[in-house]
Amino acid sequence: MTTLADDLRQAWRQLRRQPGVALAIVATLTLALGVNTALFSILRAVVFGAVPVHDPDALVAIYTVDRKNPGHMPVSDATAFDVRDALGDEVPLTFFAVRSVAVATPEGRTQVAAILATANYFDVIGVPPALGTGFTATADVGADVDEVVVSHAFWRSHLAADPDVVGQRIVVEGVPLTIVGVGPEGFAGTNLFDASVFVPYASHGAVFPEVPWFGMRRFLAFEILARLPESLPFEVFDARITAIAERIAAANPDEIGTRRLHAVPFAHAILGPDQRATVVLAAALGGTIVGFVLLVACANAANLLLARASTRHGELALRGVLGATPGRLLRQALFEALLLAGCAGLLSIAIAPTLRDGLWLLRPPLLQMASLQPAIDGRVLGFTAAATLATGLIFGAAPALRAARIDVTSPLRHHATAGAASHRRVRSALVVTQVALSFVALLAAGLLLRSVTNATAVDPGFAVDELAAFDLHATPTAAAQITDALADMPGIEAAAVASQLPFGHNEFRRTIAVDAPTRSDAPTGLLVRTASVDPGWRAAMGIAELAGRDFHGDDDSKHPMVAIVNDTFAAVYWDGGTPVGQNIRFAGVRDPVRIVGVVTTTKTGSVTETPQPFVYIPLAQWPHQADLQLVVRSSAPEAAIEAVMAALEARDDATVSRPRRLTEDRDAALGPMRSAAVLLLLFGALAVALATSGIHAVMTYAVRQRTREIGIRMALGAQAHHVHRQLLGEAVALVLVGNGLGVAGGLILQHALTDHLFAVPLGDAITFGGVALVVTVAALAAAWCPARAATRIDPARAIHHR
Amino acid sequence: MSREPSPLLTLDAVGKVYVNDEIETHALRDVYLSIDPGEFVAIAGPSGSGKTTLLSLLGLLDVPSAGTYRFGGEDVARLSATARARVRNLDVGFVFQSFNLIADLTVFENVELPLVYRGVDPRTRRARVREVLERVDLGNRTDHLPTQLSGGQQQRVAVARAIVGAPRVLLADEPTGNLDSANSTAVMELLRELHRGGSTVCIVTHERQLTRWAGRIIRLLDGRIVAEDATEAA
Repeated sequence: MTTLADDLRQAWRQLRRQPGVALAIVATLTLALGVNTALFSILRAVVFGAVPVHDPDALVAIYTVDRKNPGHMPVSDATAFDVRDALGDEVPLTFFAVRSVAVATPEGRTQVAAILATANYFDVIGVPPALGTGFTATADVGADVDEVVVSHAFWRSHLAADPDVVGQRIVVEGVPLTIVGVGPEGFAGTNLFDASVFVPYASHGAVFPEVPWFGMRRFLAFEILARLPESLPFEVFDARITAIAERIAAANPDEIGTRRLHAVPFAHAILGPDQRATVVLAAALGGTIVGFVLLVACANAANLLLARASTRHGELALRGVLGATPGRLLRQALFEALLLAGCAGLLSIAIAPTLRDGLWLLRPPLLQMASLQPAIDGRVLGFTAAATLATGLIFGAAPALRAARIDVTSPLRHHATAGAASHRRVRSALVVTQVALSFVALLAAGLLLRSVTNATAVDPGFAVDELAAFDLHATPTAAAQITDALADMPGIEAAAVASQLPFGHNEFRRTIAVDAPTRSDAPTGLLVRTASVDPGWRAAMGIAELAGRDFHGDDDSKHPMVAIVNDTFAAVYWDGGTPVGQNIRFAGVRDPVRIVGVVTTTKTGSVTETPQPFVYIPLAQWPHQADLQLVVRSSAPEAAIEAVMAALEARDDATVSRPRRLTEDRDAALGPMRSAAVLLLLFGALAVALATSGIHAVMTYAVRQRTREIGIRMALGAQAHHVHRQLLGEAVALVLVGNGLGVAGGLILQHALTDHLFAVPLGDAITFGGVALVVTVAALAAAWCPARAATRIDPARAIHHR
Repeated sequence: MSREPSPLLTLDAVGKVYVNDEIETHALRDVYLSIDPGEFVAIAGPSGSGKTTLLSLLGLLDVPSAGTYRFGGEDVARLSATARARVRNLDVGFVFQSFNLIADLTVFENVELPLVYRGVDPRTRRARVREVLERVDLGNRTDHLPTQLSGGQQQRVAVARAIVGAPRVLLADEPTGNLDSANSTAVMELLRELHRGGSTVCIVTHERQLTRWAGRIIRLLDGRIVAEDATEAA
């Protein structure tokens, strides 16, 4: 213990001895550790979930999967009931769907997200209300339930945080419901949609009387959450779910087809399993790059400590002479490093909340909808502590090993130079490492920025720049009146409504078969994206017609069903020629649907997607039971937005919300990539800045240590520009080697990211060249001043320099 | 001078070769030497004769390239670096020409250092350090930094540091090389006093007049012992 105290005291004294070096190291590490802590807190919240439910590790989500189509889909309520019955009381199970609803409160009418959930929802997830109770009903069918739970945020924003709110009534979708409880603060549902109200499933008949799909096994809208007892391992439960799914499919072969069920841990389900994969990749990339930032900072710190150690060589050797063992000298040096890292770790915790808030502002729209709040909690602090310890050991390793191998005979030799060359080699290697790491960090940002730039330039196949869009809550009749009225307004070229817009969050897929394909390899059934659109849709969107006709007013429920397909769908089934007049069949629909037109393929999910088959169907034949999407085409979309909002403000049969240009949706679809690019750009710039400061410090030390050598050179006739050129040349050599390694690392990185980049060729000359230029210029700028200072050395004094 | 039956330090056919850039430099060749407990030995020779190399070996700062060196009967070649460090800490005291005090430690802390590495508890350390500083007449300078002392005072601090752990042998490398004659005499008298108290002292010097303080003079030339003289001194 005494020995430990002595070593700590000694370490502290050494830090105080050269406070400038200590401060430089602590500042650098604080920034790097702070960024790592902030990012970790965000990734922990996003990837591992931060929804405040009881014992989230015991919760499991269940999704529909289909071997014919990749990805995870929701479950029908009919299937969810079957699963619940099959599992029995051993495994409490709830299921819920998210719906957009109009809510009227004393403060006005608003459109919010609602969770329609089974009666045991709050019990299964383990969320006690802040006021009142959860659902009081116990049955999900056959009961007349009049109750609603509101979220804490909704209670504060729309109900004036009234402590006596329980028992009061609000109107949901025109139906008065009694508030039975207020959710706890920070809770807004169990997925990424911020739900404001929670409606019991049993009341769906009263609240959503128009919605036909309750009980329909083909309609997948519900998410299942089950709470596993401790005695039931996940693997056993998953196997049981698989068996249950097989039984349900056997009993309902026509409706289920090849769809089955798949269980995933709740923590993996918050984002949705498919979105999670993207976020995990982004997290891995971001984590790697901030790891690089930390390594660059470590290299900086190691370099500064090595430079300082070279001035302490005599002292260390003397300690060895006096009996300090190699282990003791190693431990002493490590203590110094750990003390510096510890100071930086503590300071990083202080700045982490600010950095986290800054980074959180850059999150993509997907996460802006969530009530996720990254916290600097115990696990984050544990990460910071581990990172701090690792940091101290990493940057302290080289100086510590050098201290342990100190030549103890040097105090007897008065001009000892042993080790100077190897010191320089190690420090040069550290500079090369810094350059290479910062090159890769900046390159990651460059590659994503190139992808975003390329994606933004893609023609989506419709007039995206001229379109304004809105969420429209209205009956079909009111919607038709609105589009007719808007189309007559000055400055608006066309207006139309549809079930969904390109780049939106909602996606409707239907299984479609074709009566008479001409291609021999045509699939028998294909899950195809569809949209219900009104007759003016194609023209309003500016989608090119290739064959046949557009929808018209007679394409309604009284006439045969029709569809328009895109040319990608046509190419899947027919070898050339037009499919107009051919029949297609929708699973679960008895009558055939006749193709009446073919249009060009447009981008629907993202501008980076490959061409996807798409089928348009008339809204009048396929009514949409949720909010419609209103689109308005204008050469001045911003002005059109204001005009539409003003025109619809007075209507009491429609609610219009979320006005925006469609380019915003397009850009939002690129949001994860754009956010990642901006984040990585920040981290890359930080890495380059740290590397640059490291090069400056090393060059400054190098010049100071080589004062005598430079003096001798100048005494022998070297002029200022010779010295300057020589020192800059040495820096250039290091930067070139670092860039070379950076290019190699960058190629590996790009190869790993291939599937997530858009139209960026391997080794893209512009990106790689640009990054090399930035890194080189920054490094040379850092080396310039110390090299310049070397030219002002007085040779007469320098040759006597010790 | 009476000799103990078992010598404290024994070198048998010891050689030391340094290799730099494939050039071998034979710093010592076939050195046979034994030093008994309580002896005062001076190692003399011109610059480059191998004096410092011999002192490095004697102080376990280095190991021989050839031959056998036994310290207290223990073959030094068998000792690890850590074990050699422990022997240095317990049994060897060093005094250097350039004092080699640590600039940012006080006089007290410099003297304390060998005891710190020995793991002595702070209270015992304090008492022992004060005792040796009194002995070298620097009891009133404990909180001074080395730069606040004269050269003679600094060397006395170095001597205090060398003897604070009561080593079995005191090795001094040109201990008066940076001192004026008055301070040189004072330091050598201090060493003689230590020797008379029972310490084994070995100094390296190229100054002929310093050898008179020793009981035996080992003369080196080109890495070999060329003469060994007994004196009446000490």
